Amino acid sequence: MSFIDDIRLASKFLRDRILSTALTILSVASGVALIVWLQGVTGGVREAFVRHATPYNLIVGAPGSPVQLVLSGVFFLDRPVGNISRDVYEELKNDPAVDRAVPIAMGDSFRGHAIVGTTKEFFDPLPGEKFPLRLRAGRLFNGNFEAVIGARVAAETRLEIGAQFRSSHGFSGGEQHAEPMTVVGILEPTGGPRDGAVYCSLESIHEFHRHANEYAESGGTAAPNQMTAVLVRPKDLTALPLLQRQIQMSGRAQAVFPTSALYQLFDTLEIWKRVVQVLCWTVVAVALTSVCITLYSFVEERAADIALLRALGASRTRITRLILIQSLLLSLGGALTGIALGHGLMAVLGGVVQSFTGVDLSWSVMTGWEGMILGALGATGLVFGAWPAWRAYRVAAAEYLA
Amino acid sequence: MNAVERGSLVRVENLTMRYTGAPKDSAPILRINQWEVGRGEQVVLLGPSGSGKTTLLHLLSGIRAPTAGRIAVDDEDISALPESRRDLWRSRTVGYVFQNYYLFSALTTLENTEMPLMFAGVAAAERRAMALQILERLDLSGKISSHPRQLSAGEKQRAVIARALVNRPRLVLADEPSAHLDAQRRRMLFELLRDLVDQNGSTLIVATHDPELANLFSKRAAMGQFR
Ligand SMILES: Nc1ncnc2c1ncn2[C@@H]1O[C@H](COP(=O)(O)OP(=O)(O)OP(=O)(O)O)[C@@H](O)[C@H]1O
Ligand SMILES: [Mg+2]
Repeated sequence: MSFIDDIRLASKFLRDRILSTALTILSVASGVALIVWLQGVTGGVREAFVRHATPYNLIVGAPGSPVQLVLSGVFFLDRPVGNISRDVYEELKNDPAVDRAVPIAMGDSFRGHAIVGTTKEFFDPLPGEKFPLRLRAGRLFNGNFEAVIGARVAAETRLEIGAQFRSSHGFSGGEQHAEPMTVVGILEPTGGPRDGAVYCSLESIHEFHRHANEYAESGGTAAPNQMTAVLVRPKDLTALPLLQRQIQMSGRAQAVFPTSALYQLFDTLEIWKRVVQVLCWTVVAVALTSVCITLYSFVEERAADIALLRALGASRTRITRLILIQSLLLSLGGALTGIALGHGLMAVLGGVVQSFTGVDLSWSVMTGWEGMILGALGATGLVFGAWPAWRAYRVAAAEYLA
Repeated sequence: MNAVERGSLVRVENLTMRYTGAPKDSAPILRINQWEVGRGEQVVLLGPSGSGKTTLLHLLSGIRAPTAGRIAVDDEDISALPESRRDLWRSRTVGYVFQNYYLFSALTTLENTEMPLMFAGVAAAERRAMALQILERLDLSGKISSHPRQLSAGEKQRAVIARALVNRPRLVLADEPSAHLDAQRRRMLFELLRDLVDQNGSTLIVATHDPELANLFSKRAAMGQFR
């Protein structure tokens, strides 16, 4: 099996120059890791955000940016766009085409977690919902200032049933409310953004702000006749377009399909992803140049070794093959190391993303993509190895031997 | 086939060797009308530095091609062989001890020794067995896993001889095989090389500039006659 012999021999020559071999592999790996990481992050984020978007088909809120409405009303990430009148909610609730309309009132926070005023319907699972909300302990809120906390809030704040805490105005450490809230329920984790919020009744939110008129100016929901958004699910999906158009036409509110708003966001990000992708491949190309240089200097410095191989009976084509195999080992070694590194980076980043957004990225092994990287690097590795291989082919054995 | 032809392993006819770049009208490095070495013979090439000893050994191994003329080894006209066939032929027929050590620094003694067998297409297990056997004969069993930098000069020289003999070549070429050793060790090494070659029934051509060493051989060829 001369091919296996050649692979062994090539790897021994590489090991003999372990420092330059390691550096070359590392430089290829860093480029590949960036590519894998970028692809994984963008793909994973997109998939996870869509997966965890919401079981509701429509979100209704104040006119403004549709993306901001979705990020605030569904992911509790952004500030609310503004307030809508309670009438909008009442009308939707009574609309015969609507199966369920759930109100959301935001504006307060507790240690960075949004306080969400809503109704108990918010917790009722919808048919076919992938990540339904379930209580892990306690019960849902009844009276004022009773709170149900998401799993991540529970984990981070270590609040237990019966514990009391004070929420603050706004989203980042504003003035604290005088009235404490009491934890009455803790939710099971869903892996989605709802794990990171604190839930209470609409009335609680309004009670908080009874004496805080200045608060209305900061964009939060203050008056009892106001709320941030309404999550809507129609009885029949075919009624959805008409429902959306009616709300849009009313001028009092905007109605957004959460997934299409997300896709709109991702499409904007896609351009930047392309730019970064080109940069990543440039890094890889530069790294492959170093494969070429490493092998070229090997051929130059070890011409006597190559001559000796010839003298011991290796043909020119065999010598060429030995150099090309070294090139493949360097580029594929770099690719594999890079893929591993990229996944490592993603795991780290997955944790970071989850702690900020509550979205569980749960990385899939993207076999197709990795296979493509390996194939691309194998092919370009051969191309970049061609020049040193040609030099090795041309070594005149007798000139180096005495 | 006449008796002389059957009896000779190496036949050189009408050979001229001139390095490329040398003026056309300058005297060639080598000019040999007719030279033969019989099967099983041990011949020493004696000549001063620059007399063309290494050049002649290169030609006999097919590493280098002559300007003109014919070289036949074991009835194979090597100057007529295509290069890739000549490489394979060399791996099976020739053992070469170079003037300098030329061991692969990346490989162990055992791996270095196996190398010609690898290019001759011998299976891995058999390769290893043959290499171990010859290393044992050269008293290198304790050094099979050592890399060249961990070997003494004498050990390196023996490793080079082991590699040259491992494929039981019909023709062994040795270029100043003891240049780096003291007089006593040089003599011992020569005796060992001659013994091993003898046991294989191989033919040996040794090049040296040292008349004292040349005296160990009954058959001597002075390089002066090849001009
Ligand atoms: N590649 C080459 N190109 C041109 N001339 C060469 C080349 N190699 C050797 N020569 C010349 O050919 C002549 C014979 O060289 P060769 O190496 O065969 O001598 P040698 O007998 O082996 O000498 P030494 O005992 O020093 O090893 C020398 O004059 C040398 O300068
Ligand atoms: Mg010489």
